[in-house]
Amino acid sequence: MPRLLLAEDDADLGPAIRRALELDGYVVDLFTRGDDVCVAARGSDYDVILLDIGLPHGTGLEVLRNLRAAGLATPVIIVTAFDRTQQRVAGLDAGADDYVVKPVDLEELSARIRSQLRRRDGRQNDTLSIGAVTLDFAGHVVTLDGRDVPLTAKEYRILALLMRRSRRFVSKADLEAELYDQDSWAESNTVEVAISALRRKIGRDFIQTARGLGYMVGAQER
Amino acid sequence: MTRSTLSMQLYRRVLLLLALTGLAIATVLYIVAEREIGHASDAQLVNAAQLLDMMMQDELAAGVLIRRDRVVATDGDPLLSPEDARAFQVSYDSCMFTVFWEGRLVAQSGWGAPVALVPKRAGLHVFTAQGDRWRSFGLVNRDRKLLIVVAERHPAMGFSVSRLISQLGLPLLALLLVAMLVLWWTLRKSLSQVERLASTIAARSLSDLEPLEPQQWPVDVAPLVLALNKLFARLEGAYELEQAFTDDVAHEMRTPLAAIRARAQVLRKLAPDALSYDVERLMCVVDRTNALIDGMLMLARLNATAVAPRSVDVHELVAEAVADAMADLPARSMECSVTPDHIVRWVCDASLLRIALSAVIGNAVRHASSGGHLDIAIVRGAERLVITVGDRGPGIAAPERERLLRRFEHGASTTSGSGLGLSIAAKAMALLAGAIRLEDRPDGLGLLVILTLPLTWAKEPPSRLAEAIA
Repeated sequence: MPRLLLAEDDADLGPAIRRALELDGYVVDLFTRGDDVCVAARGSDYDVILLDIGLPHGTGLEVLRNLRAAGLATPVIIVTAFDRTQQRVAGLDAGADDYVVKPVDLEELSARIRSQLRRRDGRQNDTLSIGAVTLDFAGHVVTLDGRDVPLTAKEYRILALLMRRSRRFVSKADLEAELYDQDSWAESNTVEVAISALRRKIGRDFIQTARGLGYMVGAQER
Repeated sequence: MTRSTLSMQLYRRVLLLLALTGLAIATVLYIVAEREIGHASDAQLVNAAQLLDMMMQDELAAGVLIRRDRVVATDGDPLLSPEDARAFQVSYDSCMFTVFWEGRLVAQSGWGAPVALVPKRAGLHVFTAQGDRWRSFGLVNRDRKLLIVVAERHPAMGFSVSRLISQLGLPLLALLLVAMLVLWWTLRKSLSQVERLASTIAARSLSDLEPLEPQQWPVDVAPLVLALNKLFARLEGAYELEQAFTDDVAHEMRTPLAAIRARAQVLRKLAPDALSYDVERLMCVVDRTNALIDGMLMLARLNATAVAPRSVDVHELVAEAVADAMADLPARSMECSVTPDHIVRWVCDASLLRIALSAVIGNAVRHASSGGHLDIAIVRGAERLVITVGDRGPGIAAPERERLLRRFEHGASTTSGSGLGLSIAAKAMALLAGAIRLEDRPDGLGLLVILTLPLTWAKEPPSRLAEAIA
């Protein structure tokens, strides 16, 4: 069972996040002071640290620098109300692995924790999950709700490109270019054929279309 | 009453002063000239009288006067040779002389009324004869028996006002005209510095509170420049305070909101089905409050945005905004089409245009209702770029449109969202020197949002600019 360190000084928010994460099956230790966090993080082995920036007795950034200076490699997700770009940059520069702005959606936070756990286990580089679809780049395997989905090479390449660029539109020209270097000449409707095949195999709603923009996946990353 | 400009006021006053000075100089000149001429002619009178006296010396020495002292007839009087007398006759209408011996007239320069009126006294006198003013000088000699009076018409009479105007007035008038032109030109030239200051400040963006460089301005404008710099410094301070305040407010409100949201999510997991609808609504209210805070922060921060125009792919920005808006929707619930389907370059500030597009497209997606349709067109002209975003939603009634572009005004529709979307877009477009217009769709129900961007110049090497225009 993964152990989380939660650093949050707000008397309402801290217990609320702990309660929600406990329901998701994590063991959560809540701290409200920066100095306590430093001691606890060094003292015992946590899987992920969730860190608020505005902590008393040592801000989140100070705690983070302190932990990284001490050689602690535990993944850290900053959870804060400050959303300015330079504040994000400061957080990431100090050694954070991810950055979430309040009021954070707990399902999203849970997903980001899972992502950090996967990364810690060294699995993050070869798989990518969006919704129920998981793509294994190493094995060229696509699963839908855990079941293998047989895809042609063209379909796989198109899905891989769409998933790598999730939540952004990929133009038809870019998709054609992705196919072009693979085999001979791409037919003018090759992309459309592949997309409709993908929709048949992994669900009609997985790939969004906008005329003039292209195709996109990643509607609901939950 | 019309407000006169500072330059006109100054111009009028200096001109008036100039005219008064001219008049004063003319008056002084007139008075001095009159007095000098008076002195000169008095001296002439004295000279003439002494000359006459000298000319009569011989006759007096010869005792002629004494011998013939009973003779009253003065015609051909041997006192003065006929040549001498004639010299006076010629200028009789302006000069004359009379000679008295023991009070009796013994010689005169001619016949006429003035002679009778000549004062029989020594010294300088003024008398009037036939409407003219005359000046006389009486010389007494020979044991007060001989009185010579020489008179001349008053010299000032020849020195008339009309001659003064013609001889002095015209040059003065010409001088005044030249002065008017030079003065106007000088004023315009000096006040152009003030105009330059005004246009320099007007051209600044809201967030540009850098002090003005005092060395770049004339010393006269320095107090104004210093005062402006002080004001800039104070504004900067107030501005930073406001930024810190908005950040604090956001932080303070986001934390309890996050707690409410977290508890609601816990509730959603644990609550019986009977409560699920209420829990969902609770989550929606929290999300809307959060969207409102985001909108307020966005509006506040837009003022601080420094505008940095560069060549931007507008099509790409539209694609990003549509992707963001559609990413959280159930797939295939929204049909969207964008024309053209390729790069459209335009010089403008990318982050401001991104904000405007996100606000407008997000708004359209929210109001287009499920199964809705979004039509976006990018049209590049020579002078401007027009982006139209049309939805198939209920549209907005004409009287409500202006209101919606202002802060905190909601449309009649009760969908989620902060209600600040269109005012954020309006603000961003204003900072881009562009415009936003809301219209009915010409092809049926729905709202058409028209964003117009003017031609601006990039703060970049000209090559990129040329590429953007080509």
